[in-house]
Amino acid sequence: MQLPAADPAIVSRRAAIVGALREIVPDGVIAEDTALRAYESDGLSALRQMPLVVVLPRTTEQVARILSYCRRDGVKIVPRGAGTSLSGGSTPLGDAVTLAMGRFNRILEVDLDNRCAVVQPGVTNLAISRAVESDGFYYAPDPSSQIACSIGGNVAENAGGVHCLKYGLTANNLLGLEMVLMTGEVIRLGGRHLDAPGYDLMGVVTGSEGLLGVITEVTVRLLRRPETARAVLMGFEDPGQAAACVAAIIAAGIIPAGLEMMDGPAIRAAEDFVHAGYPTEAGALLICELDGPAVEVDALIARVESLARANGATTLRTSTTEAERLLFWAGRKAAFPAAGRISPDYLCMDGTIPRRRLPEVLARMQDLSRLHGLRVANVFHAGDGNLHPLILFDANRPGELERAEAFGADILRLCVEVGGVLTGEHGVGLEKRDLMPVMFGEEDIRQQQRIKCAFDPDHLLNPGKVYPTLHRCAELGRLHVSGGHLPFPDLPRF
Amino acid sequence: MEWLTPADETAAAEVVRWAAARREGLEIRGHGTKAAIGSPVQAAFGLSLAGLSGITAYDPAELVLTAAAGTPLAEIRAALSAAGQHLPFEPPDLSALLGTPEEGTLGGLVSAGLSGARRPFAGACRDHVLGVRGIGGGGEPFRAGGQVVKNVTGFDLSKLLCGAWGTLAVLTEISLKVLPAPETQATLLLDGLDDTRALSLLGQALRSPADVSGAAHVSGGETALRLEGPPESVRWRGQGLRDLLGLPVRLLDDAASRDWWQRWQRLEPLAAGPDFPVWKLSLVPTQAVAVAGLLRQADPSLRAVYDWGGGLLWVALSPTVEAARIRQAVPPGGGHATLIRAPLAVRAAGGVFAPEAPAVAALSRRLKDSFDPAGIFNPGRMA
Repeated sequence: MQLPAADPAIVSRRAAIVGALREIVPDGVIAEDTALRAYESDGLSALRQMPLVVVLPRTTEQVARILSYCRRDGVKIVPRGAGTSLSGGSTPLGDAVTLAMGRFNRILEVDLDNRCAVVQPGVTNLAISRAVESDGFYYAPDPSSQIACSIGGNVAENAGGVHCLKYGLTANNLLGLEMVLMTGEVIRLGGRHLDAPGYDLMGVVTGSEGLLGVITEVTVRLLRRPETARAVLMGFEDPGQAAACVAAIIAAGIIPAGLEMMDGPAIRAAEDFVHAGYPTEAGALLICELDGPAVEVDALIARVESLARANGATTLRTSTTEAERLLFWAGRKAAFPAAGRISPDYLCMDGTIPRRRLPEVLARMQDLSRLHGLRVANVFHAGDGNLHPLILFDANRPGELERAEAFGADILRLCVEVGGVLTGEHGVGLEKRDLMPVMFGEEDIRQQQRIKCAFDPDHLLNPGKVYPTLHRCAELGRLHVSGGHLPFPDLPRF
Repeated sequence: MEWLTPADETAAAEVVRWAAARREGLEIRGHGTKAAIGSPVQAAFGLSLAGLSGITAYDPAELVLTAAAGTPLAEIRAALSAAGQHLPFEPPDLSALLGTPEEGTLGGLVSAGLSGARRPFAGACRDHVLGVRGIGGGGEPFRAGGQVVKNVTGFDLSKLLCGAWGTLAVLTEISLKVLPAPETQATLLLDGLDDTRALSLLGQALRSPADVSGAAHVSGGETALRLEGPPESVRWRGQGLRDLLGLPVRLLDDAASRDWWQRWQRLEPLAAGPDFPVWKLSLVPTQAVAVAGLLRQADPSLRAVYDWGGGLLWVALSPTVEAARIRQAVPPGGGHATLIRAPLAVRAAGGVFAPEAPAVAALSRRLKDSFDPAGIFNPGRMA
C-alpha cells in the first residue's frame, strides 16, 4: 500500500500554513516533530506518515475558518476523530493538515423525552451510553473500539458492531448533524425530528470517510436498554453446520441481538488467552445473544437450543447469569488481541458475503492460506455475513507484510466474487482503496464521485482515501451524449 | 405528454441519452400513483418504468430482496408474506388518500422515500435500501451499494436516491433489506383522551421497556399502542403497559390489531373527511401538540392524526390556510412540513417541500447539477 506522495509546493509553505492556523486556534497547533509523532498513524498502524501539521479546534467557528483558509490556499485536510480507523481513514498525509476533533468532547444535551442526545463529535461512543445508563437508556452501535472511538468518527465511517443485525449501523441511529462544508458554511442536517424535507444529505455524509465535510455536532437516537440479555454458546464440528444453524435461526424468524461465529484457529487463540470455556476441539463456535423481556428471551433461547441440536451442535451452553454471558463474550471480544498473542502481527479484514456462501468462502480461504503461506483465523458477525479474517504474519520477516496484504486483497476479491462487498463496517480508507474497481465499474465510481463534486470540487478533504483516482469535476460535469434520436420502433409509446 | 415505456434497462438508458442530448425534460414514473404529490413536472415526455417489472432475486434466509423498479408493491408484499417476512419500515398506502386504484411500484415507493408507523423503531425506507441500479443524467447505467445487509463500501449513493423523487437518476432495480415479520401482535386502545394527555402517555410508553412498535393518536378519537413479537412476550409487555398507563384499555388481539394498523396505514381517519389539503409534518415528538394547536387556530375544523409518538403529524385543513402559515407553526430547526395532497393549482404555486436553509439549498442544487447536468429528470418536481 503506497501513501500518496506529498506535494512539495505545499510542504515548502509549511511555516506560513502553521502561522495561519495559529491565528485561528492560538493554543491548538502542533508543529513539533516529537508531538506530531502521536498522530502519525491511526488503527491501521502498518501505515505511518507524519502529518504536515495538526490543528485542534475547539469551536465550530474555528473549524469553519480553518476550512475556509484551506480552501482559499489550496491546502488539503485530513479530518481525525480518535484515530481508531482500521482502514486508514485518518492516516495523515505529508502535505495535509490533520484536523483533530478531540477537543469537541462535551455531551451537550440528553433529551430522554424525545429519546435522543446531542453531543460533540469527539465524545467517545461508550461515553454516550454511560451518560444515560442510569436512566435505563443506551446508544446501540457498539464497535469493538467503543471505549476509545469517537462518535464523529463513527459517523464518518458508518461504524457497526456486534449488534448491527438487530439495531443497525451508525446511519440507522442518527437523527441530526451539524457540519462544516469546504466552503466554510455551517449546515444542519436533521435534528430531533426524523427524515429530511429534501435530499437525504445526512445519509450520504454518514460513512463518507471524511471526504465531504467536517462533522461538528451529532444528534443520536437513544434506545431503552433491554430488560435482560442471555447468550447461547454452540460448538460445531465444522463451519458448514454452524452456517446452517445461523440460517435456521433467521428462517425461524428470530433476529438475535448478536450472532457471532469463530473458526477453529480463532476459538483456540481466544480460549488460550481468556479461558472462556470454549470447546477447543470444535471447528466452529456460535455465540447467539437474545435480548428483551425475560419471558421473550427464555422462549427464544429454547428455540435456538433446539435448532442448535438439530444442526449437530456438539457443545451447547446457555448463560444463566450475567457473569456467564460476559464470559461467553470475553473470548470473542478478545479475538483480536488473542491473535496478537499467537502471531507478532495480524491484519484484520472486513468483507461481507451472502451467508449461504460461507462454507465455500471458508474452504477457499484455506486454499489461499496455503498459497500465501500465512495462517488465518476467522471471526464473523455471522448474522449479517460480515467476515473478519485475521491474517497472521511477522512484519520483521522480509516480504511477509506484502504477502499478508496480497492475501487480504485476495479474500476481499473472493467476497465480491460470491456477491458480497469489500467492507461491512471498517470502511475503504487507504487499505481497500485500490480494490474499489473490483466491486464497482468505472461508471459506478463516477456516479459516486458526483457527490464529491457537489461537496468538495477541489478534492481537498481527505484526498487519496476511498477512491483510487478522482475524476476532475469539470470532466464529470461535461455531458458525453451522442445520438439524438429515439429508438422509437422498439418502444411502446402511449 | 407522450409516454415512453421501455421494456428493459438498456432501452430506458437509450431514452435518457436521447433526452439528455436534446435537453428534453422527462417525467419519470412507475404507475404514477404518487404523481399528485409534489410540484407538477414540467416535461413534454414521460419515461415509464412500468415495463421493468419482476422480482429478480429473493432468498429469505439472506434477508435481501431485489426487484425491478417497476415491480408492483403488491407483488413484493405478496412474495414477502409467503415467506413470513415483511418490509420493516411499513410503507404507508396512500391510494385512498390520493384516490389511486393501487399503491404503485417499488421504484415509486423508494423515490418518494415513504415510511409508516414502524419508522421510529425499525428505521425508514432509506435504511432498508441496500443497493440500486440506475441510469445517470447522461444515460449511463450504473450500480450503487450492494446486495448484502451490511455494506459501507464507498459513498452511500442509494440513500441519496431514496426520497429524491426521481430528480437525480432513474432507478431501474432496487435491493431491499427485509426481515421476518413478527410472529404476533396486539394493540392497546385508549379512548377519549385529549391530545396533550394522549401524547404524554405515548411518550411514557415509548420510554418504557415495552418495546412499542406503533404509537398513534387520532385527535378526538382513539389512542393506540402496538406490541409485536413472540406471543408470550407480547402478553407480558402488554400487561406491563397496562400497569404503566393505569387507564381502561381495549385490547385488540392479533387479527384485530393487524386490521387496525392496516386502516391506519391507509390513513383512513384523514382520507374519510372532506377533500381538504393534507400535510405531513415531521416534528420533535414533544412539540407536536403545540404545533397542532397553532394549526387549529388557523382552522378550527382541523383534522389531525399523530404517528411516531408525536414525531409525525398528519393534518387535513382548509385550503384557505396558506403554506407559510403552516410552516410557521413548526419551531425553527424542529422539523418540516410537506404538502401531500392538494389541487394542482395549489401545488403549482410551489411550497410543497419545506424550504431548506440557504447553504443546504445551494448544496442540494450542486448535487442536482452534478447528477443531472442537462436538467432532464422530473424538472420542477421538488421546486
